[in-house]
Amino acid sequence: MRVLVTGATGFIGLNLLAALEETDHEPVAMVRPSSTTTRLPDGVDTVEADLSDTDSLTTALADVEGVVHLAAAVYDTASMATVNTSGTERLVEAATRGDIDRFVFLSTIGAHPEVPADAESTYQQSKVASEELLFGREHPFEVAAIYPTYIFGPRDYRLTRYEHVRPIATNRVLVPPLYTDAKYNIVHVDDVVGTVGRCLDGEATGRQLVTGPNLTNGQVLKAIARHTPGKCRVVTVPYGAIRWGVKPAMDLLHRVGISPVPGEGFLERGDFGTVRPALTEQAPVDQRPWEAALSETVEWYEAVGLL
Amino acid sequence: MTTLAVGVVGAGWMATDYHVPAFTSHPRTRVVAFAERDADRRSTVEEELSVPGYDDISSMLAAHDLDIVSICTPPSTHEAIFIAAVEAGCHVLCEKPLALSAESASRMADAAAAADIVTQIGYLHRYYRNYQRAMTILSNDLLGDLVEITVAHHSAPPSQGWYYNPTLSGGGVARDLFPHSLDVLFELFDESPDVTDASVRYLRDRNVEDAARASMTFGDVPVELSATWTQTEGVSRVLVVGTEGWLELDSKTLQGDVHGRPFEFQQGSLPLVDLGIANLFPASDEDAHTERIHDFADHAVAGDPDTSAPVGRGVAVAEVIDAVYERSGVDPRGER
Ligand SMILES: NC(=O)c1ccc[n+]([C@@H]2O[C@H](COP(=O)([O-])OP(=O)(O)OC[C@H]3O[C@@H](n4cnc5c(N)ncnc54)[C@H](OP(=O)(O)O)[C@@H]3O)[C@@H](O)[C@H]2O)c1
Repeated sequence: MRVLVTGATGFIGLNLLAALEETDHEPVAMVRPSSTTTRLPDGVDTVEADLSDTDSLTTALADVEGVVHLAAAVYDTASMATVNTSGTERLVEAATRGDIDRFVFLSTIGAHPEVPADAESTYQQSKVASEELLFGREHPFEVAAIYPTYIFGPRDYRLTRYEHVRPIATNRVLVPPLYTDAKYNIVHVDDVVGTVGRCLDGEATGRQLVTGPNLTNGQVLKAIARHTPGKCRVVTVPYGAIRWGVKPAMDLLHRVGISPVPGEGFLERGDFGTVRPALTEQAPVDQRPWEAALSETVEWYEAVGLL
Repeated sequence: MTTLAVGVVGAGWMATDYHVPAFTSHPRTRVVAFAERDADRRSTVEEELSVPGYDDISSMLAAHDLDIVSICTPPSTHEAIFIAAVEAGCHVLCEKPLALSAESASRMADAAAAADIVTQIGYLHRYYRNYQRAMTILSNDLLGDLVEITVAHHSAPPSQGWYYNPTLSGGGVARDLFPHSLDVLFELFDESPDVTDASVRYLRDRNVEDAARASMTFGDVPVELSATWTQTEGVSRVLVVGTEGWLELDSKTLQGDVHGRPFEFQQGSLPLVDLGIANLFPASDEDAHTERIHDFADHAVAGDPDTSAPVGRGVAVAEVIDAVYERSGVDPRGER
């Protein structure tokens, strides 16, 4: 099937295009004038269009039968509503007028109806707003939406995961405050692009979770350390020790002018995609191990000269 | 295991401090002779190295069955020595700048092409680990599309007199310092630039220019090069700007940022300790001079002509430098 891929130049997009080379699907990468196209696989078709311009979308959809909609503002909070919500609406409308058989949307775990969304997160809310658009009405095409947790893998050209790895590669011992407390649910990008492939094949439709196991800080940091040059030893400490040890110490260092920041920030407990136990390890494909997702990310950073 | 016999031509500091020790420490090469025109220097070095010295390349070639000739003499002598060496079937490592002009460099390349030998021009920068890391980052398109590159290379005025004699040196600071950066740029872009603007200055009223700048484009990427002989401690720095990030490097520090995520290396290595407010880097055993000579020796041993900078690279570099002088409106080989 000839498919328009929005967000083709992003992390998931580049991994998807690489995977589609092994299939019968023929991607058309939707790009903007500002996109870096040099990283697209050789010979892939491109079409210039913008999610804010309906006419450009209609033209881009003219000779495809499928759409994989990955494009989104993932970090730029200011453009999330316009790009993620209105942009998706424009694309769905253009697809409705076109001759499209399948529409695959990349959502996020927090937008799945069975997962509580974070009301504070502009990003999650921008994806929740697309639910109604995709599932609350009839479409002349089949709809699939994919809800991945926290994705790792190669081709992270925007270095969105580098800050998880760099402190481990640049220290021989990792203790708080070099890291803050967090929990994770990690999936391999191969699982995500594999799921897109199943949806394009018509073997999966509707809502598709792509989740891994819930993981502790210690599990994740130690796995990264096992695969990172430098043999860093990760020392995990109970949260209480951060609360009553690290925070006051950092406050003190801040008062005497050594630390640029006070201790407050070190109390933050990150949650990177965890779900309730019944929803863990779900995907319509054979899943790759979460540790492989981490090790292949590290390997990729090494290969491109960043470790 | 056979070893290759090396004859070094020119017994100045480049030969005695770098070439001779590097060929001696390589497991498959040994220095068996050298040539030096100055009789006093020749006898000093003969004693120092305990290998025989000759007054020119032809007597050295006549007396020894050499496999490798390494050339450490002033540029005006390179062409004749290089051609004599390749005609004797020797592999050649030649110090930069390869020649006084692109024409002369082409004659050397033709001679090398007719012989089945391995050549390398002595460009140094690409052997610094930071440069190698930067090349990996750039060739993987981490910075997005390249927007521009700025190179500044400012060194101490050379102490040997020949640098200031245009008939021996083929020009001043542009001929002397641009080659290292141009070699790296050729490696990165794999094409020749258009020199769009250039100028030279004579800050200390020498016979050759001691300040030079050039604007060129590699494809659609503008590159600015500048070099002077003005410093006590030299500085050679490259700033690369792309649509998705930047990086800046010299031989010691490499730092940059991609999509707002920073990275930093010293001599190619990550920090040992990085506390966010302070970091500490590991001690480095980096020795780029030895690495470039060993790399050439490895290729010579393997008979592999595909070195980091074969003589053809030297021709391409000389063409750019000739174009810089032409744009500047000066004759680099003539008196001012
Ligand atoms: N990475 C994760 O862990 C994760 C997890 C859950 C869900 N997701 C979802 O997966 C999708 C892809 O994520 P990613 O990590 O691959 O993102 P990414 O690397 O940040 O890439 C974003 C892509 O969207 C494009 N884009 C952004 N704004 C656009 C606009 N206004 N018009 C057209 N294209 C635009 C970008 O194009 P340019 O190259 O032109 O900038 C780029 O191709 C997103 O929908 C994201 O919400 C990601």
